[in-house]
Amino acid sequence: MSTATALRAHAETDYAHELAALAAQDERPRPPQWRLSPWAVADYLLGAKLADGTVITPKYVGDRRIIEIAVATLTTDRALLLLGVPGTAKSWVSEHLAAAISGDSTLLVQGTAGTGEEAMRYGWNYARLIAEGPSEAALVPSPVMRAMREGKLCRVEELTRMPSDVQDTLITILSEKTLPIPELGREVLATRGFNVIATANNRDRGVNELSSALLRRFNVVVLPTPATIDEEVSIVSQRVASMSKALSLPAEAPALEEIRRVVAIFRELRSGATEDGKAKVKSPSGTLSTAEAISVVTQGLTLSAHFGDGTLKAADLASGMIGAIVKDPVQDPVVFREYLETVVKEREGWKDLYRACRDQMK
Amino acid sequence: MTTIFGIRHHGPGCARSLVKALDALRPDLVLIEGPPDADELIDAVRDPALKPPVAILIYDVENPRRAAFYPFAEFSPEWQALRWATAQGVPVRFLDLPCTHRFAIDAAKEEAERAAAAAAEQAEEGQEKSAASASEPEPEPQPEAARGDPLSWLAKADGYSDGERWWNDRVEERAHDGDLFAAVGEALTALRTELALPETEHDLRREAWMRRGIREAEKAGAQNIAVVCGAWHLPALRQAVKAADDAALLKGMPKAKVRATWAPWTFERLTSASGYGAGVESPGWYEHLWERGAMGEGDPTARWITKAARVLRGHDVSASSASVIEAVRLAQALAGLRGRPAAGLSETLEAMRAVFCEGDGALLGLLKRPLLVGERLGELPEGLAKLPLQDDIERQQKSLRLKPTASVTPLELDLREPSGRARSVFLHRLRAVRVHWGKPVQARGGKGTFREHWSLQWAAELVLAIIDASSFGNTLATAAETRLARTAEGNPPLETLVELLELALLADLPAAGEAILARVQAAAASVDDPPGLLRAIAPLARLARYGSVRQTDLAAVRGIVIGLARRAHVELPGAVSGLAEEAAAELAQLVSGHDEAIRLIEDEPLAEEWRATTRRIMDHGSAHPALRGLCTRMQRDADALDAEGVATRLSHALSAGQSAEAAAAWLEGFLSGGGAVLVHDQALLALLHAWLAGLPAEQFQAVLPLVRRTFARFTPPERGQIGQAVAGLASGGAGSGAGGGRGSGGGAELWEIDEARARPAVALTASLLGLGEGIKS
Repeated sequence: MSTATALRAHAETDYAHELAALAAQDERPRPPQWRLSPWAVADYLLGAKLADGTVITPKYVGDRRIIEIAVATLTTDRALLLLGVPGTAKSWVSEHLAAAISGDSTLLVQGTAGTGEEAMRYGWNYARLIAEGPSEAALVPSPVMRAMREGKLCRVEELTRMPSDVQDTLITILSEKTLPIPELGREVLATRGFNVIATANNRDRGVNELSSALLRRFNVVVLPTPATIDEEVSIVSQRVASMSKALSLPAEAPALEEIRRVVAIFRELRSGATEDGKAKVKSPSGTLSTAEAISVVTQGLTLSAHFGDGTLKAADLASGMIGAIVKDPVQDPVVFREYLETVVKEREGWKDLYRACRDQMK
Repeated sequence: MTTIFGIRHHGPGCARSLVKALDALRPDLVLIEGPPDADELIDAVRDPALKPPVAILIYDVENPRRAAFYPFAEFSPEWQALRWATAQGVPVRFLDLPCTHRFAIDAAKEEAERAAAAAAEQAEEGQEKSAASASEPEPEPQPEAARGDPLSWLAKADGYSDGERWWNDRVEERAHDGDLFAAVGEALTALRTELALPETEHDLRREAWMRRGIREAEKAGAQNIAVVCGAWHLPALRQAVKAADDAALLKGMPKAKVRATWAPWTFERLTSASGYGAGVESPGWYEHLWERGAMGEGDPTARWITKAARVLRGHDVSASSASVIEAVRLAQALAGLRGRPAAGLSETLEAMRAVFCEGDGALLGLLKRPLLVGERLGELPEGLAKLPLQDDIERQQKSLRLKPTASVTPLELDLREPSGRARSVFLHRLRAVRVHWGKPVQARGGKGTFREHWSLQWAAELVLAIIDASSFGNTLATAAETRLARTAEGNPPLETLVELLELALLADLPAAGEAILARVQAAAASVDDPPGLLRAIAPLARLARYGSVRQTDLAAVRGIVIGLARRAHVELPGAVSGLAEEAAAELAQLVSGHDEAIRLIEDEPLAEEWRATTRRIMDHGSAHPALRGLCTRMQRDADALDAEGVATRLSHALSAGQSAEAAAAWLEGFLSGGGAVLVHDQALLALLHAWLAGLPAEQFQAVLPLVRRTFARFTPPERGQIGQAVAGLASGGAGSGAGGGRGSGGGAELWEIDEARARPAVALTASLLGLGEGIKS
């Protein structure tokens, strides 16, 4: 499938011109197999303006130190674990790190309850295995094995979703940097440049807790929820803009004011207090992450484009917002209704949003 | 020739470079930015028993609250300069504006402000408001605040985000000295010229004074002078200013009488977080840098992270040696990424957070006090010039073997022993003079009256408190006595007076006690609200009862308690209606406390009166249900109400006519004395069970939190027993009584036991289990 028709292109395709510009002007030393120097990688993620005028868009909006620690970790041979509540750009950061460092973000193992050992180590092409017996040709390498051979970064998404015994196959790989294949009496040695970026959701704690042996092999970086409302609004508007371009929506770009309202509601419900700190509000059971705010706005845009007049209205946002906030059918409606009555209703210029939400809550 | 060294207060890199520079320069006079009032204290620096962190304390003799501290750590450049000069026998003096002028100017300013405020008030009274506000002067702009951190300008120019980090990188953490002071001088001169910020009058005076000091020293024949001052002042001291201009600025300054002394200091008070203007972020890190530098060790990162790992291990955080290695590597990689020569404080902390703490910042907080701040406490040699009161306190500390430490130390005293009593008296006297070294803590568990629990923590500012207290007397006993009596004279509320009285007795100050007692008597007469009375009675009753432990005569206190209680009993029934939730809860607590007080005072007629009072409240229709429940319980516990009476009232309170909230509040009051009653009285339990089971779902949800809160206060065994009893109710409710084997299950059979014979055994078991004094044999 060509990249033009792909619903979502890989980071290295989408931002190829930025990566190329950075590589061209990067004169600092690069660790073995790295496409860019650590400084350039940090610039790629955080945004910069290059000497030739190329503007690097920021991929991560937030504390610079977090990205610096992540990049510095990958220059040592320790693996990196990105931890955070859902929607704090863990996978996003990991994808862009892999794209910038290895030029390849496709070596990916998705952790699920059904992820088996073969996804971490290797599997077999059974037809060949039966026909020829165990051989190199019958072996189906996992993304981890390929990353080891090629000296690239391998991403493991949702590490804590996969069963503990599968998680622990990483221990040998991370500490010995080798993957034995006892059936062939052989092993795969990791080439320089190989490393693992794992992401885990700290709401899932206790489901498949990482063993301390494995945890010891990771440097852990916690990605926080955005610190200020302005930061969060800029993340949402940036992502909504790029998504509506990808979906080729005919709607107008949403007014910043609408995004600000959604983000403010999400932040207040998440933190349990209004932005001015004056009133306490109850928090619903969902996480109300930035990612969900993004999808609420995108959904609102879609609604207004196809069923409305093309401009984002409160009514278009309301249904998405209720869907994101009301996760528990018993408690959450009460929480949200209370919030509507005590906070939204009183707020200057929010009458339309109040009415839209109230009407759809019935 | 005069060489000026611009330093940063408490910078280890500066200190190291300064010592080297002094060795090279070999000056014949050293002048240091510090108060000349303390010149005679400098000699003590030679004494190895004077261990930093210490501070020079200068205070106004008339008003000891007006005081200034000049702290020094081992790694402070000023301290190193003092050490260097005294060791080499080079004359050394302080150069700053003397505190004698500073205090007098401050005092005059305060006086003027007060006068202005008073005048403004008068003017406002006399004239129209608008006229008065029009004449008000514009608020003076604060140059200090506008300046902020001047280093941040240099930091910004160098691509750093904040000044402290920049200075650390460029000066404190650098590996080799180069010509540090020339560079600092040049940078600051440029900065001050460029910024040209307005200086406060105070700073202008100080700089003029320092210039004059240097001129005088040059005139007096010093050939090679070294001046050590804060880098900010350096350009001003180099500036050519006419002597006459300085003299004009310094003319006619008032003088105050000041005294100077050394005081032990803590690292805590060196941090900027403590409010100290020239404070640093992490004294622990600076000390580490200084020690590593002194030992000639190159990179301090590895040892720092190892230290941190050891602290974390003490808190059960797994920080193995392998992790230490990884943390050091990450810190170095981070430093490399940020273009720094070596890992600094922030890199090591961030690396430790990623490696040791699973990215969790809260765990890193464990390092704050032991490592980042440091628990070091300075020491003074014996007999260093001090206040008589301070001497007295230290003498007693020594004879009672109570050593001041910067960390929190628990202390348990046995008051039956003379040494325990003496220590207790000493600590209480310190409390009386408001030197809060020891805090009494509520002991968990045992209620023994002969034990006292304290938590001791010495803080540097206690020295200030001692100075403050020294105006009340020169020994601890006289100071404490005078201070207590003085406070009592201010006509504080009765509760405060009672507290003072208690303190006077605990601190063994009979003369003060008598004076306060007279005040208590007078104040007691004027209290007329029942809560106030109850609040005063409880501690007084305790005093009257426990005074005997300390062998003091307290007949007078007893008299006062009985008088107060009589009045409380009359007035209380009138104060129990129309109460809000919180007020009722507060009153219920006071009533419980009063009940205990009555038992302590052991006066039968008074107890009889109290029973009559609680009976009235119990049946008082409009009283708050929680109070009625509580009084019912008290009646029952005092054997003034039989089981049937209790059952009747319980069923009244829980009957359908009452609102569920009122019923739950009644229940809370009734059960606040413990749940044992439900275990022993099956009839009550059955009533309660029936009520709870019969509540409609909506009401059940409404009262559930209250009932839950009530039951949560019971001990787990009590709850277990009640649970069993309820299970018995459910099965035995059919009337079979078949569960005879289980005591709680066969409730019916339990009552066939010969009660008279069983009673002593039950009472004994109950008292062994501590189930309350209500069960009497």
